[in-house]
Amino acid sequence: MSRLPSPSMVSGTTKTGQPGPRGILGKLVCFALALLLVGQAVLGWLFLKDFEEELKPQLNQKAIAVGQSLAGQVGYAIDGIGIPVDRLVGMDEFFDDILVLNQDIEYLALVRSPDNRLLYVRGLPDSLVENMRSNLPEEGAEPGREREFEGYIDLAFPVAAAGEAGVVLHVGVGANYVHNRLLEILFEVLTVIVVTGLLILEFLLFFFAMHISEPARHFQSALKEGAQGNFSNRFTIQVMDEFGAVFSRFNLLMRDLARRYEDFSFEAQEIKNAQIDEKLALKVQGVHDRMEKKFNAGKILNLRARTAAQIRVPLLLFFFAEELSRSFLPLLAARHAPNDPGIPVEMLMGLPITLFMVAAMVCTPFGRGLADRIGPRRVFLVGAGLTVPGFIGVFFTQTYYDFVVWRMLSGAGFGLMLIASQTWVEDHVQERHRATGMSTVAGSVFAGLFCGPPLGAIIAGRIGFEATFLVGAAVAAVSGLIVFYMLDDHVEKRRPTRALPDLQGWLTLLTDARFVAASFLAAFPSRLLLTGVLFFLAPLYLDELGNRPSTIGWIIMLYGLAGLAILPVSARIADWFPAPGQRVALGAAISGTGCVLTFLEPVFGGATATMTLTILFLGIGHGIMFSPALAVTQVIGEKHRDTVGQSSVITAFRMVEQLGLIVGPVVSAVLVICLGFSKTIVVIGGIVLVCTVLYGLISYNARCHAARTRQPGSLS
Amino acid sequence: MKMATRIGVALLSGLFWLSPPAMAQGAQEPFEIFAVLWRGETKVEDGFRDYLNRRGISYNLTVRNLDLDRDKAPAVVEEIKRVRPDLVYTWGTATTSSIIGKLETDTPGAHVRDVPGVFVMVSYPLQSGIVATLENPGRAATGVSFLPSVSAQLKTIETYGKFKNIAVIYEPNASNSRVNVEELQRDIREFDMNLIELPVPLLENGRPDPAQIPVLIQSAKDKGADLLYMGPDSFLVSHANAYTSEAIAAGLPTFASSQDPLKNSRAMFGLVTDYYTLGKLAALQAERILVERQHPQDLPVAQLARYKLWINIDVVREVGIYPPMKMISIADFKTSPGS
Repeated sequence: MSRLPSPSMVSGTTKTGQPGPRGILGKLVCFALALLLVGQAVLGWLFLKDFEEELKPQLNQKAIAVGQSLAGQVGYAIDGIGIPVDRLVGMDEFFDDILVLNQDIEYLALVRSPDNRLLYVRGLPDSLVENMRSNLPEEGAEPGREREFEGYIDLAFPVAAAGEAGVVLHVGVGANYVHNRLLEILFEVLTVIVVTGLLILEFLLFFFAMHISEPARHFQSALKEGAQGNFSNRFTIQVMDEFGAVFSRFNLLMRDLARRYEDFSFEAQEIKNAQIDEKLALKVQGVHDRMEKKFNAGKILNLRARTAAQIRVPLLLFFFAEELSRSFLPLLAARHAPNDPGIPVEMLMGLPITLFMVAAMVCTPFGRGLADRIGPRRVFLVGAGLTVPGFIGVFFTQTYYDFVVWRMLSGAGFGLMLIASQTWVEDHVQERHRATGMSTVAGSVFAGLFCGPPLGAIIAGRIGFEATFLVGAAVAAVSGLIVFYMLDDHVEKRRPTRALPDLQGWLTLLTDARFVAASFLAAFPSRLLLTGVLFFLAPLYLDELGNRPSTIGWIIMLYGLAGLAILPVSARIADWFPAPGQRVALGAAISGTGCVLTFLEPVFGGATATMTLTILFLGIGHGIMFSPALAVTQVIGEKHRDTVGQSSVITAFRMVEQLGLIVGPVVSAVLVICLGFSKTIVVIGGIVLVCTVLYGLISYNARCHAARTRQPGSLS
Repeated sequence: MKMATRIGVALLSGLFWLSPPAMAQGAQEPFEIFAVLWRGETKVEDGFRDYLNRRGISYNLTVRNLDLDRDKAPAVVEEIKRVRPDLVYTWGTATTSSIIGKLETDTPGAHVRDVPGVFVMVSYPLQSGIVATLENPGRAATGVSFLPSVSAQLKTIETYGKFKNIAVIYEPNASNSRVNVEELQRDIREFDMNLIELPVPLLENGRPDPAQIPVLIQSAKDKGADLLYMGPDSFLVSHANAYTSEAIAAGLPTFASSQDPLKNSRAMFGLVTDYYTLGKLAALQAERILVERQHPQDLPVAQLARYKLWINIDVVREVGIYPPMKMISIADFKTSPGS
C-alpha cells in the first residue's frame, strides 16, 4: 500500500531537519499496523481453516439431501403419476430452479442407464455432456455414491421407480466450490483488513498531529523564541497527557521567568528613582531599556494546534460513508424504478447520481458564503446534519421519488461538507501552498473511493443495499462528531470574496483560450468520466457481466488505490513534466486511453478484466491531473487578477467541473441506450482523447504566444 | 349538559351496546340460523358448523334446499319472514339473489331484506349486484368470496402446458357465468391464448339443455380447442360427470375453477378453494354478526389467501397430458371418484 501524505507533509510546517516526532510517528505507525495486520491475518486464517473443515462435510450432506429429495420427486412423477421417464415435462425449468437456489450444485442430470441415455441435463458445459455416463450403483449400494467427473464430484441417486428401471439422478458439485468460496471470503477478509488498516493509519496520523507533532512543533518554536528572550508564549492546555504535563511545566517556567523579569524591572525602576545623580539615573534607565529590547514578557500568546490536515479524517470518513453505496447505487435505483415510467430505465438509474451532484452544486456557493460568516466547522456540521438523515431516508424509502429526494438531501450535505473542507484547508495554508493543501482533499476522495466500494459491497451482501445506507449514516455521524469535538470554530476575517464572475467576467474568461481549454476540454471531460463511467456505467456493466457485488466493489476500489498511489509520486512526475498543463494532459490522456481499451476486450482476457484495467487507468489519470489542474487555474487566475479576480476564476472553473459531474450519468445513459455498455465507454474515452489533444494544442499555442510577447531572455 | 349526566348517558350507551352479546351468551339462547342451499349440503356447511361448534356458539340451523329450482325460493322467503331468524345463510349466486335479492331490486318485498345475511359460493358478488363494493357491502348482508382471480386461473393453465385455444361452455342465463366469461374475455388478452365461447342452447322453458353438452364439446374440439374451461356454473357443475366424460372421450382436458368437478367428477386440474375452509370463513363472518354484534354492512366480503392446485392423476393418464415437474411438487393429486 502506498504511503499517504502525512498531515505534517500536507501542512508543510515541520521543516526543522532535526530528528523530530516524524521519526516516532513512522515507527509507531509501522509497529501498530504490523501488529494489527498480523493479528487479523492470523485470526482470519484460523477462521478460514475451521470454516473449510466444517463446510466440506456440510455441503456434502446438503447435496445428498437435495439429491434424495429430487430423486423422490422424479420417482413420484414416474410411479405415482405414471409419466414415462422420457416424457417428463418441464425438467429444464425444474432443474434450473434447483441450481439457482443451490449455488454449490453445478449440474443436475437424469440418465437412463440401460441405454446410457442422457435424458435431461442442466448446468453441465456442452463439451462435457457427451462424456456424461451413468454407472448405476451396484445393487444395494447407498444413494449418494461419489465419483470424480471432469473436475466435479458426481453424486448418483437411483430413482426408485417400479415403472422405469435404472433411472439415475446425478448431482454435480464443483470440486473447487469450497476452494472458490474460501478464496472469496479470503478476499473479503483481506479487504476488511486493508480498509481498517488504512483507516487506522489515518486516525493515528490525525491523533498524532493533534496531540504530538503539532504541540511539539509549537514547543520547539516557543523554546527557540525563549532562547531569544521572548517569554510571552503560553500553551492552552486541553488534555493533561504527557505533553500536557510538559506544557504545564513550561507555562510555570515562563510565568516564573516573566515574574522575575518583572521584579528585576521594578527594582531597576526603583534604583533609578532613588538616584539623585541624574547621570546615574540615565545609565540605569539605559540598562533597563536594553533589557526590554532583549527580553519580551509583555503580552501572552495562546498557542493552539490547528492545521489543514485536521479536516482530513472527517472528510475521509464522510467520503467513505458516501462511497459505501458506489458499487450498487444504479442497481438500487433500478430496483426502485417505477414499472411504466415513460422514460428509459437507464436514465432512471443515472438520475439519482445527476441530481445528487445538482444538489451539491446548488449548495456550494451557499456553503461558501456561510463558511465566510459562521466558519467552516459549523458548515461541515450543517452538511453532516443533512447527509445523515439523507442516508437514513434511503433505508426507509418506498418509491423511486423518495429515493431521489433522500439522495438529493445527501447531495446537499455533500456539497456543504466539501466546501467546508476546502475552506478549512484554504484558511490553514498559505496561498503558495494551496495546491499541496488541496491534496488533503484529494487524498480523502481517493481514500474514500478505495475503502468505501469494497466494504460497502461486502456489507450489502450481508444486510442488503438499503441497510448499507444505515452504516453510511453511522459513519457520516462519526465524521460530524469528530468535527464537533475536535475542531475549533474560527472565521477568517480578510478572506477574498469568491463569487462567480459577472457577465463581463465570463466573457473575458470564455474568450481566453487557456481557460476554455483547461475547464471545458480538461476538467469537464474528466469529471464526466468520473460520474459517467466510474459511478454509473462501471457498476451496471460489471453487474451485467455477471460479477458478484463484492467483485464489483473490489474493481471500483482500484480507482481509489491508483489515485492514492499516484498522489505521493506526483512530485516525481512533475520532474518529468514540469509544466502543470502537461501533467493535466497526461492524466486526461491516460484516463481516456483506459476507456478506449474497452475496444480491445478480447485482447485483455474478457470484458471484466478490461473494465478493471479501464478503472485502474482512470484512477492513475485522475491522480496525476488533480493538483496540476489547480495550479493551471491559479496561473489563469493570476492572469485575470485585475479584471475578473483570481478567486472568481477558480470558482468559474469549479462550476464547469461540477457541470461535468452532473451531465456524466445523463450522457452515459443516453449512449448506453443507443450503443450498449462497451461501445459507450469507448465513445466517451474517444471524446476525452479528442478533448485532450485539443487541450494540448491550445495550451501549447497559448504558451508559445505568451513566450513571444514576453521580453527576450526571460524565463517561462 | 352537566358532567354527571354526560357520564350517565355514556354508561347507559355502553350498556346498550354491550348488552346483546352478553345477554345472548349469558342466557345461552341459541341463535337461529336459516340456511338456504342450491343443490344440497356440501363441505362448506360442514366447515360452517364445525367452526361454530368449536367456538362454543349455540345455534339452531334450519336447512332448506332449492334443488336447482329458483321457483322454490318464494316459499322459503315467506318462511324466513315468518320465523324471523337471527341470520340467513345462502349458498350460490342463484340462491342468494332469489332469497335476499340484489342490492338494487324492483321487488324488495319478494326478498328477505331486514335479516342479517351471510352468503357463500357467490362467484362474483360485486358483478352480480349482490353488494355495492367488496369492502363495504352496502346492505345487511356480507359473505365470502371463493373464486381465485381469472388471471390466476389462466396463469395456472399456462404453467401446466402449452394450451392455446381455451373453450368455455356456459349457461347464458346465469349471471355469474356471464360475468365469468366477461372476465375471461378481458384477462385472456394478457396471455398467449384464444377464447372459444360456447353458450348452452336453451330449452323452451328457458332452461339450458343438458343434451347439448356432448354436442358443444365436440364443437369445441372441431374449433381447435385444446382445453375446456369449466367456470363456476351451477348447471354444468350439476352435469359435471357427463361433461368431463365427454371431454375425456374427445381427448380434451378440463380445467375447473370450483372444487366439485374435481372432487366428484373427472376434471383434469383446477385452482380451487377448499370448501371446508370456506365454510369456516363464512362462520367467522356469522360470529362477527351474531356474537360481536357487528353490522354486516361494515364487514368486507372475506376472501381466502390460498388456493389449492388439484390434479386428477387418472385423467392425466387417460388424456396423456402430463403436468410439469414444478407443479408436481406443489399440487394435490387426486384420483377419480370411485376409482
